[in-house]
Amino acid sequence: MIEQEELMKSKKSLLKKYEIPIDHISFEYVEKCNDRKELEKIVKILRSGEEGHFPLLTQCAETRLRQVAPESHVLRTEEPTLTKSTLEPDHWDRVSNEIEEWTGEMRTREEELKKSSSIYKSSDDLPAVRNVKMSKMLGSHNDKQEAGPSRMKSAVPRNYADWDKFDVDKELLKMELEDERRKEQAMKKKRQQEKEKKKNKRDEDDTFSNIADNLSATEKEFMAAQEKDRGNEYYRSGDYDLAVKHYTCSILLCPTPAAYNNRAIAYLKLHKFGAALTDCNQVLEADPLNVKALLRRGTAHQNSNNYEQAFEDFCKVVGLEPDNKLAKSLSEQMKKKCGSNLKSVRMTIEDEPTGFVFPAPRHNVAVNEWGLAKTMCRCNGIPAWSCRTAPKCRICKRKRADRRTEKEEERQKIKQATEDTSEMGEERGSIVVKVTPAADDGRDEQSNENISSDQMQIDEKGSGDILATEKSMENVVQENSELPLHKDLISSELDSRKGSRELREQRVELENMLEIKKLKDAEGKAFMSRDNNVAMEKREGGNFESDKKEVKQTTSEVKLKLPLSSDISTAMETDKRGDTRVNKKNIGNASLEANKLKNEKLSVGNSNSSNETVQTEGNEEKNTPSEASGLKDTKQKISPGIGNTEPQQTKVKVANKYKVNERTSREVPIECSTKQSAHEEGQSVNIITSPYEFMKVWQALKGSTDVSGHAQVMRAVQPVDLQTVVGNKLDGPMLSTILHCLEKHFAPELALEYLEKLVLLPRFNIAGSFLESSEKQAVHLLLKELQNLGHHPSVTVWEAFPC
Amino acid sequence: MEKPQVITYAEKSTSLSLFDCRWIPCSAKFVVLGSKPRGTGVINVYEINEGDIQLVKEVEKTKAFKCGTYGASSLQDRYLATGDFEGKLNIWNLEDTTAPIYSAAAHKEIINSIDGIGGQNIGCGAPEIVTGSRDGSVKVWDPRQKGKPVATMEPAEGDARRDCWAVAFGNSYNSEERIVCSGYDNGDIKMFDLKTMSLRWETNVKNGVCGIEFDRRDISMNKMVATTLESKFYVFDVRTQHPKKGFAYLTEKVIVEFVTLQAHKSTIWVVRHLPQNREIFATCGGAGTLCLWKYNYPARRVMCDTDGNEMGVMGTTSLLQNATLSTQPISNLDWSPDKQGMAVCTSFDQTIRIIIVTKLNTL
Repeated sequence: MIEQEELMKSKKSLLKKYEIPIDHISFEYVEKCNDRKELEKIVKILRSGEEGHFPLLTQCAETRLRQVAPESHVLRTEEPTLTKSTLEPDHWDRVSNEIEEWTGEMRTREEELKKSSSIYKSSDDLPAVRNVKMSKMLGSHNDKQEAGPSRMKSAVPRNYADWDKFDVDKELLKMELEDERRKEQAMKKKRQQEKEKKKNKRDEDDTFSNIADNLSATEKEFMAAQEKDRGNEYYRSGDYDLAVKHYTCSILLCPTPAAYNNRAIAYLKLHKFGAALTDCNQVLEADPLNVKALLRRGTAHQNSNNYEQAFEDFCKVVGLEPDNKLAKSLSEQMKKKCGSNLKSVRMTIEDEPTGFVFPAPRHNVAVNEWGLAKTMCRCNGIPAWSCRTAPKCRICKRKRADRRTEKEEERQKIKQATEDTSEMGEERGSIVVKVTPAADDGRDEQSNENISSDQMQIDEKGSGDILATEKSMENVVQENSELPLHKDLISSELDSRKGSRELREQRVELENMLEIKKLKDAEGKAFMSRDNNVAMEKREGGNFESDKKEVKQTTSEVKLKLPLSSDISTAMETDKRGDTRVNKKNIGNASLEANKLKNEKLSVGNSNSSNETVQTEGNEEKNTPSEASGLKDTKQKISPGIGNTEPQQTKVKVANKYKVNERTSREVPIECSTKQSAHEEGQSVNIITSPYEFMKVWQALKGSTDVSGHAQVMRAVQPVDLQTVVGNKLDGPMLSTILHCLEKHFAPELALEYLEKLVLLPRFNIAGSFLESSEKQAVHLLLKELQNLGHHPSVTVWEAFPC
Repeated sequence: MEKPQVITYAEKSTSLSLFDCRWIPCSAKFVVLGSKPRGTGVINVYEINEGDIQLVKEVEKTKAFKCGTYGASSLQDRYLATGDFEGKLNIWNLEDTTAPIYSAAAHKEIINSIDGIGGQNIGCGAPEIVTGSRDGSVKVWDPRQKGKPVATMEPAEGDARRDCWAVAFGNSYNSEERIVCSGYDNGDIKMFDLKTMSLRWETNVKNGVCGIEFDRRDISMNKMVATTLESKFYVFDVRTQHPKKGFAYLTEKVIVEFVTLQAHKSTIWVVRHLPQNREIFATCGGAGTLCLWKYNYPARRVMCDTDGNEMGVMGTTSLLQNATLSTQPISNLDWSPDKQGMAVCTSFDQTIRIIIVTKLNTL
């Protein structure tokens, strides 16, 4: 008896052990209790039955616990396994059928394996037998542990005498040093770890050899399945690189649609849309109605901005699975994106040199293989910018090119642009950056330099997002108003700005057009349509008039130098707009292009843009020849930053560029009134590649005293094309005009390029004999100047223009 | 998420003490290792046939078999490596079992655990077998080298020899790297690097370690599970090793609560990862229960401490299913490499069970 009592005492009841008041074990308390631990304890107490059996209360406590903490281990219950008797008959049948099928399959597989094992011999190229002389002993783990840093002597003094010696500053310094040392070590360690990781990766790469060759088909299948499972595992844990590696192994062993399909999704996750596309195509070749592959290919298309193809794929999925919500929503998205395109002209996309070329990945920004910043991607890997603007998706590639031309256009009327932007700045307040000060300063070289360095900064920073540009732009100008944090906000702002800017551009274009009109009747129609456009815009915009005035003001002002800085900033301005430019113009222009650009392999959208490019470029270059090329570069540098690309051009070092710019702009006196530039623009032509075009334009300029128009034409002819374009049409007057052009309107370097090609023309010698000696003399001087500048004209050129 | 169901597909009671079971790769057959009441060893080959387990072949040898593996043999050969009560390592061709094709007196005492590697994978190194024995040593064998081990890990002379209960291969992602992990009766877990032949890491989990397994042997090591007496198992994240703290781990207690509260704690005998999904593993033991677990990775698996050392971060495990298979402890379980969710298990009630876990692919 006593023993039992003692036992009872020593063995406390759970209630006491958990220290839970007895009144907590009640419906009222339990129903309101949110404390997981307490609830668990209550449940345990109730289950133990030490306080009596309360089935309802126990149940209540359990349900409450399930609500509070569904994962609680107290709630874990065992269930007996299901057997034939406890399982529903049809379920059981399903399971057993499946297994019987499997056993049959296994038997055939075993047969195959047995047959093949007589043919294939197990591979000999296994690693050699491990050769360890002395195996390590277990107990030696003590010496494994590092001795560790020797114990620092305690810094705290033990007695008063020590306190006297205690130097606080010294100790502090010591501590600081210690801290620094630790940090340094940490950094070092990190670097080392990274290095090791890289090395390990390399090691992994060389594993898969051709052992696979001496395996039987069954083995290959088995291993392929295994590798695929490994890939799935890595995919699930988010190691997409490794997943791809294993899927690739699986495919190498035994290509299956499933493995390709899985690799496609892994590639998608890695933003390798091209690779994903090919994998999906592989699957669809074998199984054209594979829903997953279709979906994945659609996504790949979508992310490579081929919205129409994406739309097609998604539509197919919807056709196959009408209930597939994902496909439905995606196809609707795609429909929206390419809605305008589907309705209007269907454009073919060809990758031409001036087209959309993917920029090289930048180091400081994570980009996907399309050069779009990864950070832009939101859900579904859809770049943010593509979400923003609704229609006209297909054109957006082109739009980049468009934008480029706009920049160019801008440049020729910087003043105007400057005023504009500043005006807009005032108007819109929040994010608009004032360009005016920079533009003014732009007249002195120093700020030019400044800007150029800033420009470089942008270049380096260059990320796909507008924000960065915006930011650096603000650096340039040093006068920033508040910077909105949200990208979309900016873009919407920019979009709103777009309107007035567009108007201005169109206005200028209109002027150009009016000029051209006189010259070319055939194009009249196009201009009319454009005219209408502008008129429409006028009605809509309303501030057209003020714009015009502004330009008039400025025309007289713009004279000698083009303030480069403002140029850049306006160029950036244009970029920032990230706009979707007017379709209307494209369409309006279509007829014009049809005439003009027969032999250009450009799509409609782009032909328009390139057209403009040449026009404007030509203008610019005429004004300040070398500057133009410099600016071209600048432009080029900005644009990749915007996620855009440019035709590949040789880059000129920035510093040089500006020097040249200064010089030439001083040397070459030109009037740059807007009007004239507009006039010139009108005369200018696209890149000329055929003799017919060249002669047509050249003849049209007959009688004009100014050679600027000719220079314009020359610009449209690439030096390399001279041979084909001019050919044996060269005659005395033409040659003399060309030489005039080269001398007056071209940068020496560029002129040299033309000269080199010119002297090689078949009729050059004959035409040359018509030249006046003064002309030859002038060219000779030019050549000498070139030589002084460090260029080396070839012997033929020297011979052609003797002293 | 639907809960997976555990279905007992077939049962067969035998007159044997069952210690181990293994699927024969690429077949619907499995082998069972055990001993007859009179102490002789038995290798039985069974086949699943129309909902039944049929005995295909019976091999009887003088010494009882404790454990076996197919890990080191290719799919063409499919030789079974066994460890017996006498400490002998044998490799059998089950077509012809008159004599083993390889035999070595590996240990002085019973071989508790065996693991093989290199047979069925490409580019993960030589075929090797590791054995752990009561004599405290862990030995690595290459079937191409007769008679002596290629590596031995044992306590130094004079040190106490602990009973080695579990061994496992891992980290064999290329032809050089390889790791052996062993668990001892005192709760020690030791990790040996076979490339550098050094002790890489060790820890103690306080209770005897009954089972150890890496989630995959042939990938750079990712996760390791060790099961112990006293109903606890440990999941180690072995991808990142901290110089001082070693590997991060979490521990989970399998509490078996009987109404009578009599078997509150029990041993977890074995852990086996699903061949088709390494995040899912089964632990068996104690009172004849089978627990199905899923490991969930944390958002970031690695973090840096103040010294710039990387250390692993544990995720969580969730219990998918807790099923009672038998009233006696489950001694061993093996997932079929060919059929997802199919497993064979042996228990101390002398019964072989084929279980099927459904809905695993939806996890």
